[in-house]
Amino acid sequence: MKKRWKKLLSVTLSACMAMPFISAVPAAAESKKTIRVWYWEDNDGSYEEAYSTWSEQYPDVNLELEAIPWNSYHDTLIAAAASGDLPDVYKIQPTWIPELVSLGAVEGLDEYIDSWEDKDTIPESMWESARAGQEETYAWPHSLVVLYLYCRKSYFEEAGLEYPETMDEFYEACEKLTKDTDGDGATDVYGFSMRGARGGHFMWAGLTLNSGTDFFDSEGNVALNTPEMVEANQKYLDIYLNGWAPKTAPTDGYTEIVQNFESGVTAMLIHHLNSAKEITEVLGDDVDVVALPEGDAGRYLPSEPCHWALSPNSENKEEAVNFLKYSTGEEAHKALCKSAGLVPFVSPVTEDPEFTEDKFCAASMEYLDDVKTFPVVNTFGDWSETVWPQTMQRAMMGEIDSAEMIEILADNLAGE
Amino acid sequence: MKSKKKFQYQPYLLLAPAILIVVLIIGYPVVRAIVLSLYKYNLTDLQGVEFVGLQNYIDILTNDPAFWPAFKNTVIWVGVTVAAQLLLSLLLANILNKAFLGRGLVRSVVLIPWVTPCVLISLMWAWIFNGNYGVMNEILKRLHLIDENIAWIAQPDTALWVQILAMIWQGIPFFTIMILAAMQSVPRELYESASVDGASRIKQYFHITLPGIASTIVSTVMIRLIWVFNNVDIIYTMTGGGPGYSSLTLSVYTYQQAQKSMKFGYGSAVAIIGALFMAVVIFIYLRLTREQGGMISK
Repeated sequence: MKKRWKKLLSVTLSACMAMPFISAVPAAAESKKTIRVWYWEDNDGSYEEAYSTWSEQYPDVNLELEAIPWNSYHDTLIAAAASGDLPDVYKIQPTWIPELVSLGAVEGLDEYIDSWEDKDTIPESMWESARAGQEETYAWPHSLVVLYLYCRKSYFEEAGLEYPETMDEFYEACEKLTKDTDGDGATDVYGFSMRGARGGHFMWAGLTLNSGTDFFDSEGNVALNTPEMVEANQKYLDIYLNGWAPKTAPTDGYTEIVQNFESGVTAMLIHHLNSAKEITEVLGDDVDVVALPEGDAGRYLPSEPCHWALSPNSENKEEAVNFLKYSTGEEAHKALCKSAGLVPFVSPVTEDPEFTEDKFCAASMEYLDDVKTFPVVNTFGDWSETVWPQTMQRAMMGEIDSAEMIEILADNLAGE
Repeated sequence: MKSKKKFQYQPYLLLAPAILIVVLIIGYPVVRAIVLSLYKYNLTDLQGVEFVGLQNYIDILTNDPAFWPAFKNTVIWVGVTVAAQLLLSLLLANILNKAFLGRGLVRSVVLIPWVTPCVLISLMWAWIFNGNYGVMNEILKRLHLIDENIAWIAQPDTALWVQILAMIWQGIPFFTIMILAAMQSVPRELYESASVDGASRIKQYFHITLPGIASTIVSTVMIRLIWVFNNVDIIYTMTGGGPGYSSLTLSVYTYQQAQKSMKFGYGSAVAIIGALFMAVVIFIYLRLTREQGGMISK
């Protein structure tokens, strides 16, 4: 009798243990597909906010948005690519495309693009940036920001200066805006928020390459090392050497240059639309923006286009491509440009008064023909991450001169 | 008649799991790093991977403008940090070993730097020494020791030293707790009999306390030498090794080459040179402290 009870109990318990599996079977059959998306944030929470309408349009597909910190984004991405553990869709910079292609980490998108009826809503320049000089297109246009010059309005008024239009006027403003305001013999306000740490090559390029030099010539050879560039670079270094930039400039990164501008330590700052919200919250109306000054060869306005890439290992490619189309649809694109502080490039969002009448956005779009993107070559990642900040800092410290700095930069860009 | 000794397999069998784990998690990465260091292996250019023999090592030692400044900085970084931590911790442990009101609380508070994440420590010290709004400049100006702000972290003469200060602050609790524990394990009877024999407090300290804690100091210094050498986060967060190469250490340089520039071959070679350097330092250190080393060197 006892034995029978035991047997019954064991059968019941086994049946109970199997229950979750039994109940899971129909659930699994009904479960939604999920697409994972990696990106770095432009403004906290902006992507979640902008893409909140996805579930209404595609109720059968889960969208899993994963924000990865910018500082470790590239390393995480390359490691994931090398180990075959990429998400379905991920945000990239165009300069990364060659290395991702060599790792076999990007899916060709020509077939999807050619068959997309709305492809003309995106300008050819953005498709070109997404093609990145490759035979096939591996990226889908995602976002755009263009560098401009923030000017502290009241400081310019006090000094009786107009906002700089040319490089001469810019250097004059740097000098005149640098002041000892309390008469203790020490400088309290500096003309320019200079960035010597990582990421500073954007501002440096905007203020030196307008002398007529470019990274590469038309045949693809490094063309950085010219007498004009050495001279333009010397003038840029002089901003620090003459004391027109804070002494902390060699190691100042994004946070520091923005803080210096917001706290009134500096009068001018080069950045883009991403920081406009934060800066106006602190300075209110006491800030204006203008395009970067014109050099001997016109304007050189560095831009940062970013794109989406599709993993070849994705099991839900069709849904992932739907996400790409959705993200560049009018509604989602407008929402993201607003929440993340980006320049709209999708038609007809580009004509929306909400953007054209905003002074920060208008300054970004004013000279779109002069907008430049950085070269898409294998060496550029290391060059911008490590070589440029180290070399710039050594020049600021006086360890090397302008000519030596440009020579090192050119050699490293050429992979020598 | 001599009986043939039977092979004892049980000890090997029992040790096998541990040996296997050590081989997998330490042996394999070390061998892999040595092999990688002989290759031109850039993760961003996998088509260009090729065996280059000792070329990476030759380039590092003869043709790399960053290596020797990084090497010099590493010697200063490790030497000054560990020496200062040892001296200050000895002092602090002696104070905490005495009975005073609130000793328990102080012993807990002293641990704060050790349990604070390195990145927070870096940000905190970066703010203290900020060249525009830092509290250190403000204090020095109010004391009329300086007239103008000093850009501590952005100047090559001071950048490394500020980071050494942050590292000293962070590591003192570990040293102190180890020394304090060792001090408390020295038998009381030794002090009592020394007092009966008329030995002064100072003599007791040098002849009972210090010999009693010597083996702990030797092992703790060795651990700190390795940990401080390996530290990347404080320097990377505060200056990234800059300005220029002025606060670059071998560990930060390895990280830059392998993780930022994706040059795994070159980065591995820098790491191997750094590891060899540390092995030599530890070997010399253990030879010099053989008598005090206790179980470490025996």
